[in-house]
Amino acid sequence: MRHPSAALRDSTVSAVGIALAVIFVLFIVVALAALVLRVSPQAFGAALRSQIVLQALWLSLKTSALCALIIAVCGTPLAALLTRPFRGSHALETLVTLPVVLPPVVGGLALLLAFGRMGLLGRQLDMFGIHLPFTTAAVVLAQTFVAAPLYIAVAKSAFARVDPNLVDAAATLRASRTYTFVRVIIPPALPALAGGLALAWARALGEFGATITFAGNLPGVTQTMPIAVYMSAQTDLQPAITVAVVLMVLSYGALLVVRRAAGGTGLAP
Amino acid sequence: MSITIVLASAAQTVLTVFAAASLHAAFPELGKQFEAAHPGVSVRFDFDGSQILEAQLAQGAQADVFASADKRWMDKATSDGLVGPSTQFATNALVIVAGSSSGVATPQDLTKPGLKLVLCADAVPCGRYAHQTLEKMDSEPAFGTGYAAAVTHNVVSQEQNVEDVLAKVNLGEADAGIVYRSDTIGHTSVKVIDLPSQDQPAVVYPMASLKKSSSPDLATAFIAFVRSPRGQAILQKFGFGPAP
Repeated sequence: MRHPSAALRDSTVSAVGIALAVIFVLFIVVALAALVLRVSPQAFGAALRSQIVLQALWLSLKTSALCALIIAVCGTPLAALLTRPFRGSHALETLVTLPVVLPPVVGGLALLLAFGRMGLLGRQLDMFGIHLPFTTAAVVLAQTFVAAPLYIAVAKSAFARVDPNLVDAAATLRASRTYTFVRVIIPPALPALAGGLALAWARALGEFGATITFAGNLPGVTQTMPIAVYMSAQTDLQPAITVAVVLMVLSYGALLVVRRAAGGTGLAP
Repeated sequence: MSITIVLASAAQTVLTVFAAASLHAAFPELGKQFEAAHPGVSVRFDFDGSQILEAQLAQGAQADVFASADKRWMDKATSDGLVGPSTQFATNALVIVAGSSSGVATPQDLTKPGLKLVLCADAVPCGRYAHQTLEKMDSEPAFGTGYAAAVTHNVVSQEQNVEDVLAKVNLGEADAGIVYRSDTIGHTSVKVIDLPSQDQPAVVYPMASLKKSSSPDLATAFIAFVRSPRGQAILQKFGFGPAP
C-alpha cells in the first residue's frame, strides 16, 4: 500500500516530465511553423515548377540515395564487427564516429586535402583518371563522410541487442557465419537498421558545409537543395524560405514512410 | 557568420560597425587609429557578406555604421528605412588570381579548355561584378564575342564568398579565380592578373550611419575619418582605390 505522499510525488514528477517534453516539442514546432506560415500554397507550387529548384531537388535525391546505399553496404559489416569488442575496437569505433564531431566545413576541407588534385592521394587518383573535387561523386562522398557515423552507431547497438541465445543456437545447428548474420542477426535488428539509415539519409540530405567545400557549388552538378536554399537566401529571403519548406515537406514525408515501414518496435531511434 | 562578444566598461562607448567581409583586413586598422584619436571609444566590427549584414540589420540587429561592398545592399538598407544618406568611401578592382602552375598569364587564358575556374556566386557582389566584366569584355575586339561564354564554361564552382575562391586557388584545386584586388594583398603564392579597367563596373563601397544608432555623432565621425586623407591612405595600403 503506497503512502499518499509517494503517489503525489509520483504524479508530480510525471507531470513535470510531460511539461518538459511539451516545451521541447513546442520549441521545434514553433520554429518550423514560422517557416511554413511564410509560404503560400501558390508560392509552394511555383517553387516546385522552377528549374533551379527541380534541378537541386533531383540532385539531392540522387546523391543522398546513393549515399544511403553506400552507408548500408559498408556500414553494416563495420557495425557488426564492432559489436564484439576486440583489441583496438574502441579506438576504431571512436575514429569512425569522429566526422560527426567535426564542423562540416572542416570535414569538407579534410576531404579536399586528401582527395583533391593537390591532395594526399591526388597523384594516385590522377593516375586512374579520377578527379573528385567539383563533381557529383564528391557530393556523395561528402554526404557519406558526415552521415555514416550516425548509421554505424545505431546499427552497432541494434546488433548488440540481438538475443545471443539465437546466435548460439544457430552455431550449434552448424549454420555458417554468413547464414547466421543474414538470417539470424539481421531480421530482428532490421527495424532499428532502417531507422538508423533514415537518420543518416536525412543528415545526408541536409548536408551543406562539407559539400560546398569539397564538391563546390554548380547548378545541376553539385548544387544540392541546402546549398540552393543558402544561395537563394543571399539575394532574397522569401524564395529561400519557400525552397526550404519544399525540402522540409519532402524530408518529413520520406522519413514518415521509412519509419512506418521500419515498424514501431520501439527499437528505431 | 562572425560572432563577436564585447565587454564594454562603463567608461567606454562602443561603436559597432557592420562591414562587408572584404574590409576585414583594412577596417581593424582604421578602428585602431580611430580609437587612438577618440579615447574612451572602442570600435567593434562584425564582418560578413553585405547581404547577410543587411538582412540582420533589417531583422533588428543593433549597430552604428553599415559599410557595404556594393550599392545594391546599401539601397536595400535605405529602402528598409535603416540608414540615413550614404557616402562612398572606397573603390576596388577585380583581378584574376591564378596558381603558378595553372598556365594562366593573361585574361585570354581563362578560355583554355579544361581550365578549372572558380567565381563567387551571382548573389555575392564579387560574382555579379565578374559576370558584368566578362560580358563587357565580349564586345572588346581584343577578346571577341564568345569570350564570356567560353570563360563561363570553365566555371566549376560558384563560391559563397571571396575567401573561398582564394582558398581554392591557393590550395591548387582550382586553376584560377576572380577576386577583388584588395583580397590579394599578402598572398604571394598566387599570380595576380589585371582585368581591363574600362570593362569593369564601378566597384564602389558606400557607408552610412544607422538611424537606430545609439551614438550618431560618433558614427558620423567614424565615417568622416574613413574618408579623410589618413583613412584613405590606410585603405590604399590594403589594396583599395580612392573614394570617387
